Amino acid sequence: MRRIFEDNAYQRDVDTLNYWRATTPNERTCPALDGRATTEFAIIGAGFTGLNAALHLAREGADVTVLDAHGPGWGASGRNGGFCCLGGAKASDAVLKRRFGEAGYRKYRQTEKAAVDFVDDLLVRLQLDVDRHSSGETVLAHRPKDMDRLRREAEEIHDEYGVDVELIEKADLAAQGMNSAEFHGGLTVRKGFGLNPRKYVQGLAHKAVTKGVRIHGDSPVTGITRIDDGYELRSPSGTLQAKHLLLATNGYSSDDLPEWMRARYLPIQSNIIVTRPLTDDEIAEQGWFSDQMAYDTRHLLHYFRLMPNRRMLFGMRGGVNATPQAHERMRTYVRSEFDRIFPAWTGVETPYFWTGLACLSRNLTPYVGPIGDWPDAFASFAYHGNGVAMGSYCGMLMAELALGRKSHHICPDVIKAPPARFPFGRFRRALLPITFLHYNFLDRP
Amino acid sequence: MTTSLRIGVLETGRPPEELAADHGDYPSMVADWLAPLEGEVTQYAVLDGKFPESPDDADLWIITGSKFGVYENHPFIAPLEDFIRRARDAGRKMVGICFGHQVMAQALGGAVGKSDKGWGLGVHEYTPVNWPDELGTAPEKLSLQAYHQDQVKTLPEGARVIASSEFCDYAALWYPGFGLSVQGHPEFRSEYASQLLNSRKGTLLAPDEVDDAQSTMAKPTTQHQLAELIRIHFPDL
Repeated sequence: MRRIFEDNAYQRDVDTLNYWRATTPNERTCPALDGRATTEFAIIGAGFTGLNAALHLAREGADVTVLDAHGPGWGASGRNGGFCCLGGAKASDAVLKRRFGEAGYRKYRQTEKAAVDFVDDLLVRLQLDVDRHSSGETVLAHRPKDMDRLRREAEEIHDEYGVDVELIEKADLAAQGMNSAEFHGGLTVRKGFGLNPRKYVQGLAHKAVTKGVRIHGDSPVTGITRIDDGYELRSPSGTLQAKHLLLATNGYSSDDLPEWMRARYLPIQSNIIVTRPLTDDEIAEQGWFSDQMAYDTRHLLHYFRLMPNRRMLFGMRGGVNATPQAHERMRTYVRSEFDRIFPAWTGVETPYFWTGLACLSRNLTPYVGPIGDWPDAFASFAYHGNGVAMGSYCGMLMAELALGRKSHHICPDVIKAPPARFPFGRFRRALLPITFLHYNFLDRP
Repeated sequence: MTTSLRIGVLETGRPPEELAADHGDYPSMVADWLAPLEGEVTQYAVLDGKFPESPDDADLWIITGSKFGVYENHPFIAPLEDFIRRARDAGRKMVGICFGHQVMAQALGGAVGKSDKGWGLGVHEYTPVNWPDELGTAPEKLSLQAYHQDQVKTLPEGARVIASSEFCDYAALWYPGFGLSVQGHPEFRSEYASQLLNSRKGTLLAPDEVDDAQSTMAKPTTQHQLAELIRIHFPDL
């Protein structure tokens, strides 16, 4: 495998202090692939994308096998902040409009909304209790000029998504239970909710198995070969032959699985801390009692939410390296940002800290579609840190594509455009063996 | 309502044609280097006279490297200097690389010239000095690909040296509230730097100098740390 970060990022116990992992025990053991097996649809990756694809295919009576390097939700799906919200692309409105036209742009925005509704409906249909809370999402301005922008954009957002929006002026933040000197007001968009992502992903796995899907854990795919009538996937303990291939590895992808993926994605680290439960006094002292899931307008995005059990979850992107030492430094840094924003809580312990990989594409848009010119092979990835809704929805869309039928689900051109390659390919991070490559180069005739 | 960081790359030079096919142009190397900023990159071929309309067209401006000297008489240099001053006055942020480092210094009142130390090639290590609080904890070292014979010789007023080496006194400059510039090339991967050196071996560059530089290629650089530093500490992004 040719992956982008250090090996530590991909080892099983990299996130032992993951709050979800520590408090939501694994209900299911998924045996490794054993020997030779065949299936109609093979899915690589048992996260939101892969399991939604599996579930969707199984509901149509298809024969489905999912392989995961570790197990359901081991990657970003079991590590994220649990923000089921609008989003998925990072490209600006202007660029999306230029590339896809006004209509294409609007259709994409409707897709973001459809993705949240999709998860909402799914949770109801599967009767999953995932500790939901928050009425939409609140974005907080970290400078007065960002508040000006939110004021300007409020109407536009209402228009584009067809959702209710409410501006909160700085003076009203405290009354709304969002007191922090850091913020100059905010905008609530009434779409989306917070959830326990691990309960969600385990619920998906459980339901998929009930529907006859085989899920193999500890089965990292180390090779994909085209065969006469489909694909052969190899893992250390077995091989799986399939007619159809669905790739759902997102930030945990490998540049050679398959070769088409090379340089089409860029994993980036995101980091989360979770406090112990806050007392009433502590909550009163900070003046933060809102259960709105929130993020700020900083480019260096912070995201946070007071969960129903009164633990504060606080996350932040960043980190060049994925070594234990680098993660420890990041833990200190995230904590210092938390302390600045919530000064009354500087004495509150944050026993949980973990890191996971979100995924970008060079186009800054998600992708669902064919793997190059391979027949019956599809990939779905690059949700830009908003995979709870968009990853789930795209997994379902990928299943529709694999079934080869016209979907009644909204599928905009934005997500059909294959991601361009980062020109440096696997040199896009310098962590791969440079020495080796250098000698290769010198050895060339 | 996606608002991504707008990164404007001012292209002041081009890689040798035979390398551009494999490695892309300098703006795409910059885009790759800064990809973790999740910004939207627009490039402007200022070397062909194609300038942005306004410094407000981007949040962060990057000036690339170039084979030209900032003291040479090229038609794009004076307007570029003017643009740098306007970006500063407009409160925009800027990062200069190699030629960009030098032209920022020149535009803001410093002086640039050929160094009597000759070419600086290969991975150079610079020591952080007087590291400003705004940029967080000082890194242990700054380690970047070098490819230059010009150097900043006189500092512009207000500029602060933040990294230095025996070969290059003013290896990194900090312009409080405005920008950062580096003599090295954080956007170069070792493979590109290596091929660039070979392409000039025996013509522009002495073969033994190239061989010495090639022997440094395996050393890790801190290019990604620098991108992270910009991401985290650049004021107001």
